[in-house]
Amino acid sequence: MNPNKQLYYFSILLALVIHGPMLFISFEQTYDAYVHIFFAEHYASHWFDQWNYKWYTGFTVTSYPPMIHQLIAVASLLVGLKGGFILCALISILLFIRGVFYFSRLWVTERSAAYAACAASLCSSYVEAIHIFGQLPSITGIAILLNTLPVIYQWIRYGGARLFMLSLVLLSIITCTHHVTTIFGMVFFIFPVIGLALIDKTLERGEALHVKGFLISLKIDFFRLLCFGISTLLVTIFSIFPYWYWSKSDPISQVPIPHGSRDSFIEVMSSGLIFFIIPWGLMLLFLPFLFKSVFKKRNIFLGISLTLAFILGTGGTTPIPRVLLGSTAFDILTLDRFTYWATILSLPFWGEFLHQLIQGGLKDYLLLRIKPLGYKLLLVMLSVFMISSTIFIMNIGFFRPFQPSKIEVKPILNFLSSDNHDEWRYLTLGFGDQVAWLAANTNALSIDGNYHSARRLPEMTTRVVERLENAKYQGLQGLGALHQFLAQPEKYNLKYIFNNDKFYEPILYFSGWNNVQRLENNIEVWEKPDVSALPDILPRKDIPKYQQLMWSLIPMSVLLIFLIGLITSHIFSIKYIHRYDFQMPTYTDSWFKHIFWAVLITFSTMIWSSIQYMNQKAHQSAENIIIAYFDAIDYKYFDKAYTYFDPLTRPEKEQVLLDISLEDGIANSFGKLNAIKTDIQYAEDKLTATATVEAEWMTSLKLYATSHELSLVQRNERWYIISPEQEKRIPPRTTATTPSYQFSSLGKREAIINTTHHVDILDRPDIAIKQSALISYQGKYHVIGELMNTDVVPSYLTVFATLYDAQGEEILSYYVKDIMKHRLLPKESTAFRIDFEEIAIQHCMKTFKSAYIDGDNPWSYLAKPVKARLSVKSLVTDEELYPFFGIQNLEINDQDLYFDVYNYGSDGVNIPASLTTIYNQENKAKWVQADYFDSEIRALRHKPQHITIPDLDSITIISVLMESAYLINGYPPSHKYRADSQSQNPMIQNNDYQIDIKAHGYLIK
Amino acid sequence: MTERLFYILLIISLLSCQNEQVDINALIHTQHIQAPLQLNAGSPLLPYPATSHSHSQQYLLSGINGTIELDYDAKSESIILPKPINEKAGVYTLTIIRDQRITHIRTLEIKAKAAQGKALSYIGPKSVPYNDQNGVMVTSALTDQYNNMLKGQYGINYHQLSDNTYQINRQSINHEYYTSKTLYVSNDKVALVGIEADDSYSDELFFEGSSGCPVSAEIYVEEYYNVADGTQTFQVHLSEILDADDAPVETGTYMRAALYDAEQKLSANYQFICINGTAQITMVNPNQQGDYQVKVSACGDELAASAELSFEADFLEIPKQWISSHLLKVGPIVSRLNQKLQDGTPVLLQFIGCQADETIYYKLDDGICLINTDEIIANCKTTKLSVQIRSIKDTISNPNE
Repeated sequence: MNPNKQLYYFSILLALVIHGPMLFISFEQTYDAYVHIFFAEHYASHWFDQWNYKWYTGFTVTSYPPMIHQLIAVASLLVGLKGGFILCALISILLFIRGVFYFSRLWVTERSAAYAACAASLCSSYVEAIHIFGQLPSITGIAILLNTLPVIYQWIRYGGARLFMLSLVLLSIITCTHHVTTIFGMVFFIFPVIGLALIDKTLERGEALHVKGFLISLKIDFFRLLCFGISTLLVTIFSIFPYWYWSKSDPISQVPIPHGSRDSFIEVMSSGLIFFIIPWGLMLLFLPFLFKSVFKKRNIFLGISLTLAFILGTGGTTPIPRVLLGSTAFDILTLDRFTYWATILSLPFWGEFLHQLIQGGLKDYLLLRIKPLGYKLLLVMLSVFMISSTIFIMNIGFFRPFQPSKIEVKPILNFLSSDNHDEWRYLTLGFGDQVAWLAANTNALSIDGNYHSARRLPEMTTRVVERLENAKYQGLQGLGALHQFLAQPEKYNLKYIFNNDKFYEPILYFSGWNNVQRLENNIEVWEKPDVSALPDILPRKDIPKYQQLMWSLIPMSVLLIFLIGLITSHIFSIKYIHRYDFQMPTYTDSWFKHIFWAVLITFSTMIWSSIQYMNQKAHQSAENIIIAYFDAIDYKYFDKAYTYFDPLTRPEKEQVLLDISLEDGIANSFGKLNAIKTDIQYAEDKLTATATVEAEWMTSLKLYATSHELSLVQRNERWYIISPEQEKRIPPRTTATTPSYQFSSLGKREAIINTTHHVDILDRPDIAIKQSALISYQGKYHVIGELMNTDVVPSYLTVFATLYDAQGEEILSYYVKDIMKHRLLPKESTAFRIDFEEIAIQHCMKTFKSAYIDGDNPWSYLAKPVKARLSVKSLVTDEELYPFFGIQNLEINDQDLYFDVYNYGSDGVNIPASLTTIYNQENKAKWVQADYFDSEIRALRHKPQHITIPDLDSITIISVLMESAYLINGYPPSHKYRADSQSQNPMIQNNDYQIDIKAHGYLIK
Repeated sequence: MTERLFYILLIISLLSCQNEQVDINALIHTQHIQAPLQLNAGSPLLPYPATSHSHSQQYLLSGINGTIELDYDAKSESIILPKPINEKAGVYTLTIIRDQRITHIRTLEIKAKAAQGKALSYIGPKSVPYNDQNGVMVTSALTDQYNNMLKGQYGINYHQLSDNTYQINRQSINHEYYTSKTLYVSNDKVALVGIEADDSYSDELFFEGSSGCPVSAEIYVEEYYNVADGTQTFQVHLSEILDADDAPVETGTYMRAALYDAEQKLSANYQFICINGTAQITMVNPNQQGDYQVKVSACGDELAASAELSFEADFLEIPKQWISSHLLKVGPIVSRLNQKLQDGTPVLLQFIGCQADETIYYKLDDGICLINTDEIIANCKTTKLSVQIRSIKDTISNPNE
């Protein structure tokens, strides 16, 4: 057998050995694998239906080319969905290796092409694409494209209807797999191959390779190329016509979602690592050789293409990509694809480089200079580096997990399928990309999804949020989008939230969600009471019947045509297409500069890494130790945090861990460190210092600023923190007796499987609206008021208001979010405040689109509200309520209120909070605010708190709502609360105002 | 040549694709509005003669929840109404489209079937205040087997069985809920109410009259440590918590207890619940000496007040010392129980004799406060400083002025 072919077959075996076993482990950790499995599940169950109800409020699957998903669906009939994905991935890998070999054959010798095929298995960008990103359609598209390029080349050189049709069939398959590959593939892959073919035709005519000769070749073949271009365009359109139809008829208007590939890789080094350094990997060592090779005359078109892809892949590091693509495309596209394509385009020359190193001129050069031993050592080192980098990339999730731990979905499926829970929508938090796997296994509908190109919900498209389920990673914008769904779940029939991230617990609780149970897989189920079930008929967007048929049949038909033609060999003969009679340029060179470059890069990287490591070493400096300490606290690495304390003065580790565990609270337990600022004052001897640290914690409720005074000491060139003293005050009592009661709403439910629509209806406790008003403060509008549960059972409240303009036209409606106590004991009252800012901004962005400038006051675009209607719904609740709070030692200083919150019950309160209502002298509520305190209050303890109230003189009461503007449980108020009485809660006086402060809090079950 | 023919065929076939978008508004040709169609719930077929049907005809059913397309069954000459639509009573709109034109718009009313099985159910309210002369609106529903509520077809009778046996009888027309007024629970605070419909369906309900807001209570305060240390606690007990009808209030009723000083200024504010007409609150001693009173309120009204409570100062003096010419050490402040005052306790510093009322705040840390007078930026600095912690105030000379 031809030794080159032997090496080629070895490369296929290598790919199977390296990637095959790893696929079984890595694919579940990738970003996109489950999304594609989700789409496949759709086709497996509804092949001919293009509408999928499971995400958002439904979306069309014609938003993504279907080939891979349909193939997985077909394979799933035998091996299941996951097995189908792995099978398709394995086939894709084999196609890729084959494609690299035959594509490389166009540019380099057969031997070099075989080396390129071997190197392809270890190509960093490819490994990253499979084992980290899981982009199966994209990598399959490129694999097929690489196999198509030699066909196109041969058709241009030798013509023939069969080659032409084969090209179109393969391009159709690529389009059905990943349309972006076809579109950009035209620019980066096909045009260079066309250019190459024309160059070879020029050489074939015996002419020198010159522009004039090339233009003559172009002129000769112009009509053929034009027809090819038009045919390709038509094939691209026709193959996935419903996709283009959807794009045109229902274009997305989504605000750009940040992506690391658009960052400046110098400023954001982590993005540079993931989207530039890792994909290029060891190929960075041979860049001069690469660019020298691709700019040889024969390769000139590839050189231009590669350079363009290289520059575009640098993201925001330079302004060039934005200029080349335009702002819109730059903000929409993820630019890592260009680096990926650049590395693929480089593979033939990487193969050539390896050929020269192992068998060519470079080997001879090195043998002369570093002797055989040195040469062998170099080869071994290079091999080790290549394999190590591949293994490292495959397992990078081990060092820095990209996904939460694997979640067993069975308990969630059982929950959804029982007791008609799937008659409502659900949401997941903290699931990572496993949301798609859960969705693939249930018929229940989620309000969130994992394919944001298809979503149209304004709450998501008007904000920089990729998914609700990882809203915290998008900062305040992401959390703002989540808040809207939590505040108004009725809008989308959202009732259940499966929470896997403690971070979200505070906002869930204070927005009125109840923690109902913990499933066997440790996922918490949160429920919102009093939400309507999904209607029987759900809206859907249908496409014309012919498009449904096109979408369902064309991809598999095209594939079938290709396979039949391949097998029969009558139409698509493989042998026929392998003719490589062209003049190959020589790649001998002066090797010194290439070696110098490789050595320079290697040593620069090592030195830079060492410097970075030294600079970030925790004990290196006072700044480092503080950053390391807060980093460890943020990630709950308490053992590590302990090592940063001064070993001579720190307490026992158990004591420190105990102290930390007792310092619960929203910032410590539910926060994520957002920013940190240090101010270090060194003593004269420079051996001690005092640091004032301002830390900013992002929580699901708000940003918290904490201030810390730390003492630092240097011993033996290493800095340490003097461990802070924790307050050891103990309450005077050793026992606590707290009377409490339990309330159960048993209902009249029978143990039957049928629904009990009217036999068992939950009570709606009687509610009185004591007062309510529309106010404005700092140009924003709010509805505030006071309610009371006049019934004898505990009540859960849902409150929303509608604003009207002077003409009586409705402007906006919104719900109370967290500025209210949602759960009231009998005869308990609560104040509330509804803020309309978020909904007003979203409304402006949706209505006025680009005419609304982000940051503008939305009320300058909308009609000013002059009145409002208030609607209150109540539902009996048997949630355990904890009222054992006291406000102690109240002091007022202008706008600052100081007080102690005392927890005299038997349980610790993890997140204490207060609800403050401010009244004027006529007992009219003028302002309501909610404040959350950063540390836990254990039983029988109190903690000092401080809140700031606004300047009340700047608050205007626009209109006081009358009884006619109230609806309680759908009806006008049945009896008037004694509005004319002077009854009021105990209050503190402050100048012309009276203030009522009420404490409450969140207790972890 | 073959290639070129292929190109041409390809182009022709693609150009012949049509856009099938239907513009309803532009293409409405004829509408025939006729009498509403009616159907009982559970009927899967809506009769529609085959002579009126054609192969290209489409049937769209619209309701409150959206629109679906219906199929036609030629064998039974009917339009097929799928589940669960055919089980849901309501008014729908049937639109018939032929050749992209709307030919008919009909109203389809799906009516509830006859009551069947456990058809009568009570809806609410679940609690009824006793002795409430206004009475309470009670509501029931009669449903068919698909849980559609029946309208105007049955009468619901309410029988209140107590010492004041009487009947409330109301028959509703064209309403889905059968309501009644004046369900009244008398002094014995219980009521057994039976409801029945058409002598066939019945249900029984037990009401216990619920209490109103607390209006009176007995209050006493246990023996307490009378030092204003802000740490020790004292127990406040309430009993005989009654409403306006002298009945014990419901367990779980929310109430508040406030601590007022001698000037009736609010010092503390507690929440608690009533259990079987009693309650117990643990309050913390104030941190300012003086006379206090506990007042209990509910529903915004005060209902009881305790006897006067007196608290003496927790510490009598403030130790203070100039460590250097500009560094003043205040403390250690130790309470009578020999405990250092709580971290964060405010320390107020003032320059005595200054026109402006400028108070600078510090905090105790481990019972001590260190004040660097060099760091104080004040409009006025005098020779005497006052230091105040809680209600104790002391003066010290300023060596720097």
